[in-house]
Amino acid sequence: MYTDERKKLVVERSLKFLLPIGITFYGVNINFPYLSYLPIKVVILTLFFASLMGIIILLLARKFGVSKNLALLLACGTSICGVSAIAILSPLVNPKKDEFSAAIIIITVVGLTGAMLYPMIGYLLSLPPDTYALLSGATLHQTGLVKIASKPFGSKVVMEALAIKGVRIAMIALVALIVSIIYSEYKFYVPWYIGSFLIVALFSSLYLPNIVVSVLRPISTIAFSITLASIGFTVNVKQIQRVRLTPLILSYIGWFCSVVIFVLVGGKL
Amino acid sequence: MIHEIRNTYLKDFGNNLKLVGFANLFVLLLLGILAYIVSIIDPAFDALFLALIFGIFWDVYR
Repeated sequence: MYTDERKKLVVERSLKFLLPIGITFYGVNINFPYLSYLPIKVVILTLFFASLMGIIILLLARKFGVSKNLALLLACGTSICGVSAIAILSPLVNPKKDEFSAAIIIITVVGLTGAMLYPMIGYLLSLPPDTYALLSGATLHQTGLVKIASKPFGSKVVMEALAIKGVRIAMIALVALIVSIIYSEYKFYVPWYIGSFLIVALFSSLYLPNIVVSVLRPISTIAFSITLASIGFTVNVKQIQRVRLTPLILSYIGWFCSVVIFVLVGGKL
Repeated sequence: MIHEIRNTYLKDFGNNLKLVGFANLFVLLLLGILAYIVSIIDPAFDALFLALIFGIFWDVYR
């Protein structure tokens, strides 16, 4: 049943029909009005630190010879919304299966390290609640991790950190559009699922009632999860090891540099 | 866009579904739902990351 050819076919076919569903419905996670709820200074700082992480990773990856596709996935995963950003950009970038899997594992490992260290950093440096919310919302990789890292500081910090994270998630709409234009075979071609993703994002932010959004959100996650489980079928651990430690170290450096700059500069702003 | 969806996605939807096979799809669906449930219980684990790991280990231990 599961010969190599068969497995390859299963993955190719499931990518073709499940990934577009996941990408389209992921639009409901984007909330453009967050941009107007937050003070403009917070939005600018969030965009600055998120972009900084991505730029550091891209520059280091070029210097250390990490493949362009893997570097882009790591940079976008770190600076936008973790694994979801990698899943959305993967059909546009077409990475190898081992690069794709390695990017997901690296982003998760770096993010978990951050979630463990941030409360300690917050207490040691006695960061004010607003600054801590900005630190976790602007530099942690995944929404779940932002929630965990800001929980010890109270529900107000959690809400604020999640709103800041929402600004970063909104960045995926613009980044997906830019990447699809850069990587397209034809001039200014945008795949239909990126178009539908943008429409759903806009529509859900402005018109869709919360109940519909809360139904569509799990559909998107489960469609993505099924796709990733099918990719997991074809990748073995040895293939992932072939990617080596360099991308992991680069991701740590990119994230660590932006946290250090935040502590030195961002906290005083 | 609607033209593209009709000609590329919807046209091949049935074929893709048959080629993946309902047994495979069922296993994938279970793994995906399991990953989602675990991620709800403990948000430290992203559903997508868990699904990938489940997929890798399903292939190793089946």
